[in-house]
Amino acid sequence: MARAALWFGLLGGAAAWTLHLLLAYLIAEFGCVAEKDAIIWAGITKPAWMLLVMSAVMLAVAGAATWAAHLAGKHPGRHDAEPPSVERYMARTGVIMSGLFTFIILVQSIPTFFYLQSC
Amino acid sequence: VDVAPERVEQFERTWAQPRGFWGALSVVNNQPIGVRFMVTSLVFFAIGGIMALLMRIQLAVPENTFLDPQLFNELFTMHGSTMMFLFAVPFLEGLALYLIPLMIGSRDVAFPRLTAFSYWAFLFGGIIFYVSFLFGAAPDGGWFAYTPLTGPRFAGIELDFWLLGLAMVEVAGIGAGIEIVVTILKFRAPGMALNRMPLFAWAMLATGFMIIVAFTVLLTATILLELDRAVGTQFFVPEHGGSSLLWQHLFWFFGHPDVYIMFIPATGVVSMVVPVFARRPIAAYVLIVVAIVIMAFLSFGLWVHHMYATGLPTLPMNFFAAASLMIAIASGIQVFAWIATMWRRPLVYRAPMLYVLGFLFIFVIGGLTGVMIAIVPFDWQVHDTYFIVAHFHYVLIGGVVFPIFAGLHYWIPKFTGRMLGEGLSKWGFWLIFIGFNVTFFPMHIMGFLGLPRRVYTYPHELQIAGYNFAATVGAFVVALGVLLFFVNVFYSRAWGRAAGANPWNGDSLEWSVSSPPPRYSFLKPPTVRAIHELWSERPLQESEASARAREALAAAPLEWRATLVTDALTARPQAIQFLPGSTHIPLHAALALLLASAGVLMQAYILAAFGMALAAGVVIRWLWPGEKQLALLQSSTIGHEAGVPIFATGSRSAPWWGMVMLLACVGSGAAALIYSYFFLRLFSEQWPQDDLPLPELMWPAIGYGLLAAGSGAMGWASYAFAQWNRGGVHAGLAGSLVCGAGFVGIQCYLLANAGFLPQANAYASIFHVINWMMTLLVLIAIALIVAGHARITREGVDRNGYAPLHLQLTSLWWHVSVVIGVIVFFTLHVSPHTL
Repeated sequence: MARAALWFGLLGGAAAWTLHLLLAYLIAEFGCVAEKDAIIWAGITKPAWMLLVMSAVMLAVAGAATWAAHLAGKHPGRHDAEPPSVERYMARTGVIMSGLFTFIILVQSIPTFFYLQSC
Repeated sequence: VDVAPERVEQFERTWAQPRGFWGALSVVNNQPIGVRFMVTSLVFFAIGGIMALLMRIQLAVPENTFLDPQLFNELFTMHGSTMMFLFAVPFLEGLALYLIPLMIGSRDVAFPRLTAFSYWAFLFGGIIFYVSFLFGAAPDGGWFAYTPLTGPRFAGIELDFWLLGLAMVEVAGIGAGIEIVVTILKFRAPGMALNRMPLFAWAMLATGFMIIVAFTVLLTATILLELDRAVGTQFFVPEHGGSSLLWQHLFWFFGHPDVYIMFIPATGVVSMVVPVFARRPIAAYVLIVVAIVIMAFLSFGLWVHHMYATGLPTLPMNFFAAASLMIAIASGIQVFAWIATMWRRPLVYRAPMLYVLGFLFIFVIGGLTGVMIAIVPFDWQVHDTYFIVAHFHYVLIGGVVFPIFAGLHYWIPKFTGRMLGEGLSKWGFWLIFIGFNVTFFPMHIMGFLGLPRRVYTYPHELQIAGYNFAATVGAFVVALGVLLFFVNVFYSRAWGRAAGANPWNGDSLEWSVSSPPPRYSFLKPPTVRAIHELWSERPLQESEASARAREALAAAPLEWRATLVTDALTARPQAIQFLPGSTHIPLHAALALLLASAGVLMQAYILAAFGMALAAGVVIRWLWPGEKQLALLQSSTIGHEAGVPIFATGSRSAPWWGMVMLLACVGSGAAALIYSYFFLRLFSEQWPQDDLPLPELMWPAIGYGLLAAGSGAMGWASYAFAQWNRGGVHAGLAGSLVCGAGFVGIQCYLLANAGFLPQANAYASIFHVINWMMTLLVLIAIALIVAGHARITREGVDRNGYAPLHLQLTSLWWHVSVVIGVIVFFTLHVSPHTL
């Protein structure tokens, strides 16, 4: 479990960003071409809703990864998952990397708010 | 190292390079192969540079007639292709193949024969590119080869030269990428956990992964375009349902990461040079590692910023604009880390450091213009103008060529044992630095004034003649600087001052061995306690297991090449890896591929098929260990003495990682095809196109069910092996063989009775090609199973042999094929009925 948390903290943010970009591209490219201007609720189109929900989920995953890395770094070596120095390094790297990916997902989500009614 | 001289002599004999011309062709050791990569790519660099000079002469004055438009097209195509495919990436791969084992404390790379094969494939690919000139058919479609201009309707055999040459170079790149990743993950010296790895190794690790994904997508795209041209498929032919934009998506999905595939290793070089010449440990090591990894990821999320002017919906363009801006954070982290390392230090202004400072100045300018063109409206204004030419030369020459020259000046003393002349080096630097800025800075202004890219001349009225003339003068100044560098290398090779082991007081392991290093790099594997190992004064705290493994490997084996395998994360000893000696097999495999390419070029498809069959035969011979080798390893006691096995399995063995990387390639190729399917579908009013019948469901369901059953049978074979049940293993393998054969039979039946040929339209093309891919995957699985049967028959269910590993690798291949198969089934056969 400790090892899984360590790896999630290290790579969770990157994985969330990759999924976010892929899904954002697919929803925007395919959604905009196929269902342009089809407003479904509260004046927001279906692709925009999908993008907002998906971005929120991926932000949560990346944020969780950052937190997991932070927790793993507080007590390195406690779970004997890896040698303490390696564990500390992975945790520190995870906090910075997943934290940065959280920020990048946030920035990449901003354009959606300018295209709520149409692509 | 305390080893008897006669033992050392025998050890050196085992690692010696064969003499004579034929001997040189059989070399597989990382050092000579790394040098060949570097020298060959530098030759291509010189040729590409001469082409640039010819273009600059043409553009020096308005309405010049030095070159005609056709030749100009050929020159800019070949200049770009050469610099991108034949110089920068192969050079950096060569540098890594030479240096990585030395830096991480290994004796060689993970798969030496693959390294040699990669070199030959790279060389033959380059030759195919350039032979086109002899036939008067030089490629002229740009280094990006946009369709439909490069499709069968508008381009002749010149594009076949380009595509086939590129395919060979891509195969070489992928091979080197796998090599580099597995070597770094599994061959690090005991103690070199990930947190102590040199930054160049980190950079190459990220780059290796990127090559595996990006080059495979380009390979897929080039195969599709060649199929359009040679077989008549319709992937990129709009009038038959294809899409020119699909080519751009696939090409730039490779093309943008390719910039970082060149840039990230270059930053690795800078991170190695800066601490040595600032006499201080690197600042913010962790942040630099994070920046490398973030750049590697983000670079795959930027491809659309090359396509802002293609009419894409604005929302997706904004995602990519945001990603393009974000990558500046990662670049900025590295730049500030280097500045922090140099801050208030008395820098040693030798040539490597000068090139690093030049890099910082030029790359920051290139990076800033990169941020400008990441913004969509700005990009629309300067798209396809000389502003873009200026930007990417600032990035690629500043960000890649300057660090390459820094690296060359830094490591040439290690490669040759001789110091370069400092005076000539400094003259060379200043000429290149000044010449570069004189050449490319005016191009920003010319772009703003409206000079489009790729034009062979321009009118007087544009009033840019002065800028162009200055650019041409600057280009010749750069050429003079490069010439001085080559003169310096040749002069110092003969008369240079002896370098000694560590002329710069370097910090990494390559400086701990003689210059030039012995072929085996280290007689006794080193141990590592710090990032800057040679500067560390920390007492050595080594585990008993590590000391035992290192001691044992220093004493034996003497009659075969071996190195230590360690854990990917912690670098604890895990196994002894057998390393093959000199052989011509890699050359034969590359020659067979060359024959296949020649067959396609001459439209002699029987010859092409023969070449491919020959290549397959050579690969089978390659992978099959001889009786002598097996007996040698089985009788060796080195495993017992070192406390680790020779026949390791799973993630403890290098081949297992090699297979995982190969499967990552397969996955990338399959993903590119699935993406192409949905992309073509999205822009088609009718699917299947032209009233073609909907795909059948029942027979494919049975076929893919058989494939899944075969996976279960493979699982049974593995279980039986664990139970020492030889009969069970044979039964499991036979079961999967029957399932695989059944799948192939159904595939052949379905394709023969599909009711349409791949040439009918884009739907038919993608339907057939994805099915071919699946059939090929299963045929390879069948070949692996047949080989597995033979191996089990010969070796039994003995752990002291290759059988368990073979079974694992076959299972991996089969299971991944099933996963891809399930996705293919839903894509090709279910989605047209439901979506």
